[in-house]
Amino acid sequence: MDPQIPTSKGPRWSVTINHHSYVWDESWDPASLALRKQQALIHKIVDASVWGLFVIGVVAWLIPLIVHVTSGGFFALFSLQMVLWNVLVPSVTGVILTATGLVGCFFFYRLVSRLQIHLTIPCRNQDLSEPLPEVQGYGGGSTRSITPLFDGAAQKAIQDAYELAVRFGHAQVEPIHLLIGTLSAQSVSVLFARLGLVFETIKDILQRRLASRLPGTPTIFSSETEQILLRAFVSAYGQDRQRISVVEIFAECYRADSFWRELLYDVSIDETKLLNVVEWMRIIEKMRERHEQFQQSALLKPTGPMNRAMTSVSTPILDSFANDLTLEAVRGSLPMLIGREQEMEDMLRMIEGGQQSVLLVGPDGVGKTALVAGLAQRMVEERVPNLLQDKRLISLSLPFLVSGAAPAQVQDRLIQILGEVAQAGNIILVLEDLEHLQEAQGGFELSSLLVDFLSRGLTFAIATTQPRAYVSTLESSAFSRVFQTLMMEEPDHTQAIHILESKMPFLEYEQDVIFTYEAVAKAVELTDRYLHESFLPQKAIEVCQEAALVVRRKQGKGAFVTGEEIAAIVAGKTGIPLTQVATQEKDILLHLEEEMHKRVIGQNEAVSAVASALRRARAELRSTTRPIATFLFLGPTGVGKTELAKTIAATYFGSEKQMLRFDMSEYQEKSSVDRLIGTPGNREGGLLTEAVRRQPFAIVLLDELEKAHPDIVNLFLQVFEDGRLTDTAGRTIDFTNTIIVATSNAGTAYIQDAIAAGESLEQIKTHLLQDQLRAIYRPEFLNRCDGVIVFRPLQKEEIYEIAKLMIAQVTARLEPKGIGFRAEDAALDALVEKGFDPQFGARPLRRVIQEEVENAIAQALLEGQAKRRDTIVLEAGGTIRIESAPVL
Amino acid sequence: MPAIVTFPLAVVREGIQSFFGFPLWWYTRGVVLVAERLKQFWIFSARMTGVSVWMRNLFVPMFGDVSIAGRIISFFLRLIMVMWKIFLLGLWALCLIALFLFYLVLPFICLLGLFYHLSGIFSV
Repeated sequence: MDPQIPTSKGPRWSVTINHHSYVWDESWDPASLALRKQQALIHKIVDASVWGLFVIGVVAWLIPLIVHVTSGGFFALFSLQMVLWNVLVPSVTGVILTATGLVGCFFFYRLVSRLQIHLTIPCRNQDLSEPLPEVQGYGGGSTRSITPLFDGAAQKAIQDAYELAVRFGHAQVEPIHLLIGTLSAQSVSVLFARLGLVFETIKDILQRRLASRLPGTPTIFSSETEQILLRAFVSAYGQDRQRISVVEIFAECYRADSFWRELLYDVSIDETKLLNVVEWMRIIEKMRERHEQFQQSALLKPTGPMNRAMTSVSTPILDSFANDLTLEAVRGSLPMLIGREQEMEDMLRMIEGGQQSVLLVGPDGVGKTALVAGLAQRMVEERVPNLLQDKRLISLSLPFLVSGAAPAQVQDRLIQILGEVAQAGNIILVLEDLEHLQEAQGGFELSSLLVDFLSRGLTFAIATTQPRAYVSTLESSAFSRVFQTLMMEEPDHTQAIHILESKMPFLEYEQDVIFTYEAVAKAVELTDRYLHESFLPQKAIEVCQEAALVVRRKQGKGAFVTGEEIAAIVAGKTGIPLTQVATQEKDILLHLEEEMHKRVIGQNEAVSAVASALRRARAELRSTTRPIATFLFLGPTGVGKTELAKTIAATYFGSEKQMLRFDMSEYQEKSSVDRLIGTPGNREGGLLTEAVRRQPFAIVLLDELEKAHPDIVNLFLQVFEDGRLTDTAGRTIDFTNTIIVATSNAGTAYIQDAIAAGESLEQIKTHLLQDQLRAIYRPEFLNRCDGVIVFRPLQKEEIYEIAKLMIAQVTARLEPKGIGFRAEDAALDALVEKGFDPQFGARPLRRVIQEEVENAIAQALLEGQAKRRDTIVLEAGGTIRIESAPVL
Repeated sequence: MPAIVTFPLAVVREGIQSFFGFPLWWYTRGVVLVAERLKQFWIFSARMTGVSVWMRNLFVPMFGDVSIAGRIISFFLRLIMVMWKIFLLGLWALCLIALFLFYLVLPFICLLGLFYHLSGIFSV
């Protein structure tokens, strides 16, 4: 179709690019469709006929030739007679030859003219930050049709959409038809697989939606559909693609159709998720295109030490300590750089502008090496400033350089290497972890040598280092004179997801597994949230590698890696339960209070506040930038404050060992802060920070906080608010997976008096906050606590229950010896009578049980009165009786 | 008319229409396409020989030899190499032009040859 001819029906929408109006103007009606199908068949038949004629012609010409050669020998082929026979002397063979030539030309025309695209998507050469053109109402004038710009799969999707609408007798081809049309395309099937979406789950809803469309004939394309197709064209233009793919149509349908958005939202696919998967498909496609272009460019790049201008010399010493990155790039062994365009532009500008060396400063794993590899690839393609063209990028291994040699020898090596670099003149040095040079023996001399060499402008270098090493070693050294610093930050979530998506083809190929989008997103999200010692994207890539290996081993080839597998790997590394709440765990969470009351008697308000906080945390409803919960437990001694903390450790964190207990009475001096977060200048860290760093998923119990120095209480203000604390070594310690419980005896006398006076707990708490605690804690501290929980003194009935628990503990301790134990009710009453003291809670009871029960049992055991299978019975009056087991 | 008749007719019509469109395409879009491809091929060949790199570095000593003798030898060697490369590229350009001309005349040659052979056979 000639794009310049205006359509008869007239388009409704258009997009203007470079003063040309692009429209969707294909006529779609049963007759046109049938005609197009017939036309396609005719094309095939004519092409096949022409090709057949050409083959017959060639064979007919070859047969006499072969006969001639076999009878007259190979050299007869070149004989004058042969030439004359075919060309000069009129003959049947001559007719066949010339006719076959004509048919060949005709076939070439048919083949190439069809492949040759008369119209391509215009190149987007302008500034990429310029906004994309809008779809607007068509205002007349000459147009270009976008129809031929859709690739084969996209054209089929549009046709399927139309046929679907016709089959159902619908008046218009609407976005829903277009969407269903795209579903049979392979790329959309892959997209569904990545999203973990099974078509069957949405099939019924789609059918209902289809059934509700307006009937009518003839079926025409709706205005929305026309706009979607134009937007798909704009999207392809924005990405500098040559064709409009079916994925673009799918993405635009999603953007335009609220029903489709709702439907996917219902199956847990939100906009970010879908657009990131669409981007994944684009990234893979772009990588393929770039790889093809790169291979062509790589043919021109020399693979030896000699450059194309032949100005360089061989560099044997340098080669023995270095890696040729440009050579590795030519061989295709370097990963393709995705993202980091800004950093690459900055680096090239620094090199070109100041002709100065560049120091990339960033934590391990953020992509410094990947950026250098990206530069090597651009150097192979010669997509670099003149200064870098026809050059080699050589990575000098500093550990190799300094190892196994005395400082003088290392200096000698470096002098020789720099001499070779200067003489070759085509080498750009890469120095990874530059601080190694400064920190090596004789580092000052080595650094001076390098600085002197670089400052003379003989070449320049690209070095990398970590922020800590930069501050401590390099910033104040002579290197700062010759290196311009380029800070590399950790990529944000979306960028990290895109980088991870670009790694997936290799990972999937290696392990023969398939990653869902959920797995990729979880890898980024969970590693960012829970693994603070390493950085994105490297840590996410490592987790994905592990998950792929595990899935391959457990489920075999072709299995899907889902978010659950990623969560399991991260949970294994951190000890934090991250997988979805299982049914059994759900029951425990729902009945947490009952579970906790098995250990903590009474204190209903405290138990229910804690249980609610734990449920919020496990259901992922809590804030992720603060600790799971922060509590201040107030009350007299022996009422169960510490016991409740232990119970939390056991029920939520899995074991009582998951409790980090700090007796704050040991931190009464101002200097005690150093013990908690580390001494300045010492890299060991403090007691608190190290404990949490090693055990990030735990309960932190701050016993008797009121006794700590006020500066220490202030320190916890930051932890309560931000969920993190920086130790003196500069590490940020994450407290967001801890529950912090501070206990305090402050206001005990008041609580006891108020309870005795019959005041409610709420009244007591209000009075404590407004009056009693003011002198001890600053209001902002109290304000940051999720709950200030008052433990009331224990009643006699509660002490009775606690006595039963303690007796049960004694029974449990005797069980391994094969001896049973029970206390008679009267004995229990007597114990409670003796052990009850409203002032000291359950502590006197523990003493009474120790003195009266455990001592008596110990004596009986030592005297040999109780044997295996016997039962010890505690009777009223504190005496014990042995019930002998029946003789066997 | 039934499809069994109309369809073969449509095929024949397409064949005939296409046959008449063929010379027009061959000497318009086809010419442009072939010329463009041959030009790209020549440019790639020129990049492969690195002639522009050698010309840019005409006065730069080869193999890092910055002595006067080295510079003089290097200059002349580069000059000879550049001339040789230009010669080769020129020759290659002639070959490609010949190929282009062959494209231009091929249908004529075939057509004329066909007439010649046919008339020769039938006149005998």
